[in-house]
Amino acid sequence: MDLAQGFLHLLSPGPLGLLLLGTFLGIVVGALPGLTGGALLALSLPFTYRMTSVDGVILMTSMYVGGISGGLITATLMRIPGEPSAVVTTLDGFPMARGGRPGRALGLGISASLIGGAISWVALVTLSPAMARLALVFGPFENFALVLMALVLIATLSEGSVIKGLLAGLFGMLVSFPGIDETSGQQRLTFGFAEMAGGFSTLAVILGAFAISQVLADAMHAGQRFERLDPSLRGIFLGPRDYARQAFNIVRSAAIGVWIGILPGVGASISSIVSYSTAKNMSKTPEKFGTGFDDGIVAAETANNANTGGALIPMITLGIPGSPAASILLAALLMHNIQPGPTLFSNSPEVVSALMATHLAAHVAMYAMMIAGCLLIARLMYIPRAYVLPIVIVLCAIGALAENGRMFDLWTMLAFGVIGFGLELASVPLGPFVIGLILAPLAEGQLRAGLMASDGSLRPLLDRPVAFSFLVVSIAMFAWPLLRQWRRRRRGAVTT
Amino acid sequence: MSNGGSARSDAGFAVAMIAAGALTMWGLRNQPRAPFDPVGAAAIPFWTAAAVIALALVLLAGVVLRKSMRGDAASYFVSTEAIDDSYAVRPGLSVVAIAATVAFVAAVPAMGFRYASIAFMLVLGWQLSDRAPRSLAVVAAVALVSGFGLDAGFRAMMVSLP
Repeated sequence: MDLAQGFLHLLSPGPLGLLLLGTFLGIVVGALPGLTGGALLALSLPFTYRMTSVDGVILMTSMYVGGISGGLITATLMRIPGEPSAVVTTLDGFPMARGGRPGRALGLGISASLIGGAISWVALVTLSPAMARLALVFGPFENFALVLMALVLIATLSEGSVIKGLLAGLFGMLVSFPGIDETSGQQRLTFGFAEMAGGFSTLAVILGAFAISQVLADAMHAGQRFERLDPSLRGIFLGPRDYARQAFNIVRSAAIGVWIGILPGVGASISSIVSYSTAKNMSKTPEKFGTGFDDGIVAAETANNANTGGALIPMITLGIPGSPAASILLAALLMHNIQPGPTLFSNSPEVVSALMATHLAAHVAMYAMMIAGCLLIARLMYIPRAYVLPIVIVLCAIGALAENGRMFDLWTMLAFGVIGFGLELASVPLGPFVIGLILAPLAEGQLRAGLMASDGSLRPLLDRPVAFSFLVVSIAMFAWPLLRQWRRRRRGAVTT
Repeated sequence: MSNGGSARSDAGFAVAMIAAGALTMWGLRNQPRAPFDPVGAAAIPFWTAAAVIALALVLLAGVVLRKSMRGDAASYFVSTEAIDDSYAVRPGLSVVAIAATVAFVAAVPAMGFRYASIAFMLVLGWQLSDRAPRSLAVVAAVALVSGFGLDAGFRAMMVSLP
């Protein structure tokens, strides 16, 4: 892997254009309430077909970075987070903007995003090769146990009910099973329909679950209008003293963001919440948090951008996405017949170097674009949803058709749009669903390969130390929240 | 959502999952096993479906025992309801959007993608707008420009549209 080559490639006009376009679109969509970076990534998947895998990775990685960052603009200026990960930024960003310092609030958020992203890039570049080398020694049972652990982690660490998270992940797995079984070549779960022989298109399911469901939810808010603002940007550039004062907060928040990013399936919103709470708990002046305090904005924005680099580490080294958005990036690589995992470094080093170079370059581009155009981007919120939402659905339809030109895929997209909308209404997280959908073929393939090698015995799962330790962690991660919930209820019952 | 609404949605989700698990098991009932494969193509989907049914039953039991396990699940939609109460949230518009999208998909083979998408954008844009003449004119302009533009653009990119 030659990182310098990745950066050099980004200097040529085509890749540079994709980087700037992806970052810009990510920021715009990230800033708009309703549509999120995940939906943009899903929507962009089909357009990467005609691209080389490297160009597709450049476009989607820059969208990922832009999407995470853009949310802070409207969170700060209007207390309307464009992205779930920017919710915590509203706590201090908006009071500071309201208090007459919108430029400083934006400057703190944008600078913290850049530095958080840069620190996570260092982690991505240094930890990934080591983790990939370690993963090279894994056999099928280790890989299966790892995927199992990832699925349990995703369900237990995503906010809300563990059981609903697990059910969402398992349901995603069920959706992946129809079609040709890769091990035996047999058709399964086709229910007699010829169209089902190829299974559900992953792209159509992702477009439905992430983008269509979001449009359906957003349609309810079509009447929403936003107050016109014309804030000043004075103070948007921070001085060396500001950076020095925030140095420890930045490093701590970045470390939290990277670590939570590495955990499978846990998105940037958890990073910013944990980082903000830690900063508040460790602060000498916790009472200032929530009143327009520098430390609050810096903690939230550093962590959510640091999450991006962390989330990419397990994706490229183990083939396990660190966040729901990273799972769509993973799907993009799979569609280009590139299997993320330890062999990615030797089989497709150009993809790894392009991804790493783009991650840093997109943060720099994001900084420049947001400093220069944040007010302009904030004004895009005034475009009524009635003009935007129908176009998004038509774009999704084109995306679903672009893969195979089958009407069945269009119906699949629509059906999973409605299912995703229903899941959201029932407070079921969509992240585990999408990650289950993408990881199921890997889990099944590894387990069956292992079983073939062991004559159908599951014993190696217990005999092999790494596989066994992954199993133990999975069981512990599953049992711990249930135990904690039971103990809390018991304590509640005792006190009442 | 109230606790009652939460319990209802949990119960609805659990029942839907049980149905999905049962449908999967039923679909696997005659799946043959390849001679070289110790578990067969049906095994893992079957175990997964069994796990889905078991967990859904636990969720349902929790609802029945009035021990709703609902928490604040991570939302991928940004809810602005709590922040901005200056407008009415209209769930009916989501139903309209679903109906319009079903009609759009059904119309594609008959009308062709270009005209079906223009008609869809006109109808849904009109439904979502404030119905003022100026808004309707913009909706029409957006539908026509986007409909012809997207169709031409993607055909030029060799994307096969019906």
